[in-house]
Amino acid sequence: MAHCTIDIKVVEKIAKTAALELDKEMMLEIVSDLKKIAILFEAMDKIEICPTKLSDFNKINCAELRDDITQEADTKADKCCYRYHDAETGYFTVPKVLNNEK
Amino acid sequence: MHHKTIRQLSELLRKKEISSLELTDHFLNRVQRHNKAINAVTHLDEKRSREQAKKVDEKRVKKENLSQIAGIPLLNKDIFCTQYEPTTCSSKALKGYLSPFNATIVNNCIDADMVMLGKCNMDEFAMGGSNENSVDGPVKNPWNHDYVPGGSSGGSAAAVSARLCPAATGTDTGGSIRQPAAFCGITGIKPSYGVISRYGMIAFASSLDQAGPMAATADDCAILLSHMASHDPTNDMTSVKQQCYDYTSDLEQKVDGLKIGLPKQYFTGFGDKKAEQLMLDAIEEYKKLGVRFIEIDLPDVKHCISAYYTIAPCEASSNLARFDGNVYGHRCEKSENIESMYAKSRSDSFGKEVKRRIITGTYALSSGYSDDYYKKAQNIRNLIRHDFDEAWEKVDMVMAPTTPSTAFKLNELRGDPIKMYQQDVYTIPVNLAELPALSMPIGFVNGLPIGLQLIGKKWGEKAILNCAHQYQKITDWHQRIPDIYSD
Repeated sequence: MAHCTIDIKVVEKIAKTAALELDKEMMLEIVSDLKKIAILFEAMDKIEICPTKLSDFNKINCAELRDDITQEADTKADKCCYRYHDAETGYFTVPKVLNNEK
Repeated sequence: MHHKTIRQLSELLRKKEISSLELTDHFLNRVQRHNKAINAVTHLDEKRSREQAKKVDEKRVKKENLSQIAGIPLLNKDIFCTQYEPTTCSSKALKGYLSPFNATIVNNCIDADMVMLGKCNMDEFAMGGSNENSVDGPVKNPWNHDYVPGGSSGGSAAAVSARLCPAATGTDTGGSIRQPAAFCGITGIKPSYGVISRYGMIAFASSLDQAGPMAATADDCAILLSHMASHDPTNDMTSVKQQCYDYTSDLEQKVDGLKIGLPKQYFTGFGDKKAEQLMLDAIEEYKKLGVRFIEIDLPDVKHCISAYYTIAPCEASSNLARFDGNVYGHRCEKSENIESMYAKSRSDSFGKEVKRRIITGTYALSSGYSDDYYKKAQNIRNLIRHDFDEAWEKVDMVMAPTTPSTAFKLNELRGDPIKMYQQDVYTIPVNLAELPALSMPIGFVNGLPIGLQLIGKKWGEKAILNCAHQYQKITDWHQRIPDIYSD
């Protein structure tokens, strides 16, 4: 998988998403910590998952769990989300917004 | 009185040799006398606890039916919502917060007529393994004040270890009951996910959080768990109905013929020869009881740190989103608009470790990355579950060290989150696999206690409590109290 380069700009974006204001010193500290933590994430790339041992998390189709009636979106704002709707799984699949390392 | 177990105190209360008020006063005095040195208790509810104790004594005079733990004082980790005393999670975000309801575990203890003494210090929002991340200041290990008590239930563990109370509640998301129990020389059990209701327990990582009792002995933990556990379908869809809520019923069963697995992955990296010898001594004691040991392979537990430190921060960043100063949490008044109010309030409220985990979780969940990280981590979690499932075909239980070493010094690992996270390597797999596990003391290295962990099959709490109790019947490590807290 392609991983994002962690730098101060990325951390700024993440902090904004998380509704946190970080001062410069904290920001630099987080960049350094997140780089180390990302190694843990990246270590997962190499782990082979046998298909018979996949988590139920992958098997659940959220449409099956719903007992209410789903309705077609009618507003423009709602409809724009449906670009990302995956009818097969019932989840929304959104594009990566942080820069990828190619 | 503080040298006695809950079972012994309960018997004294039943025979009216002591009153609950006397017992409560004794432990209130101990908190006042000793807490300054260890900072384990952050809120003491003297008036209400005395009132509760008097009521229990009156019930006893009237010969009303009382539970085995009626009149026994209890301290609660400050993560459990309580109506009559503040619930802060040791965070500025919840300073002075008074919950409109009690957590189910708290209500269960009140229904059993336990006396609620107050609240214990903890790592902020249960994030940490040293109890250094608290707005109320660090907790110190009663065995040596230069060392940490472990975390996040460090206040609860230190309070029980110094016998400021006979028992305390804790929570365990990645080892937060077992690791401080090991560092402080007490017994603590993390039940299977679903045994104790999570209702009213402020969420950190919802798919991993589980409450449990901390006390001096496995026997006491069994008594407490029998009252704390309940099926709570109205409030908590993750609580699971158990066939029997008496966890003391199998305590006296013999353990001869029991097969215990020793995972080779857990017995490779002992830094300390003395600690290794203590593990071997404990194994020898069990062999005398007729237990058989088999080496087993849990090949995927080595990935536990990666999986846990993906899942837990993801869930934490989502759970902690509610503390924005609007409905929940401290509000920063000097803001230009609502977005700035959210950001300023949150930034002002949370400590460094909480911010670090929120950022980590937000990063892992950021658009498009959740498949790469969160889903992958869930798959690894499943591999670990499968490892244990395969182990159960060969053994009845798994034994392992609770921690890689004894307690470390205050500030020793504070600047290095990865080293701090690696301290949880032996406890995390249990949370990922939703299994029950208990930690109990098996000796001392350089004056600091070290713990052994018994891991059971799902819903196998009785078996591990039985196994721990049989060990504690032939050893006395669990009876040790730090000298300065002995009188």
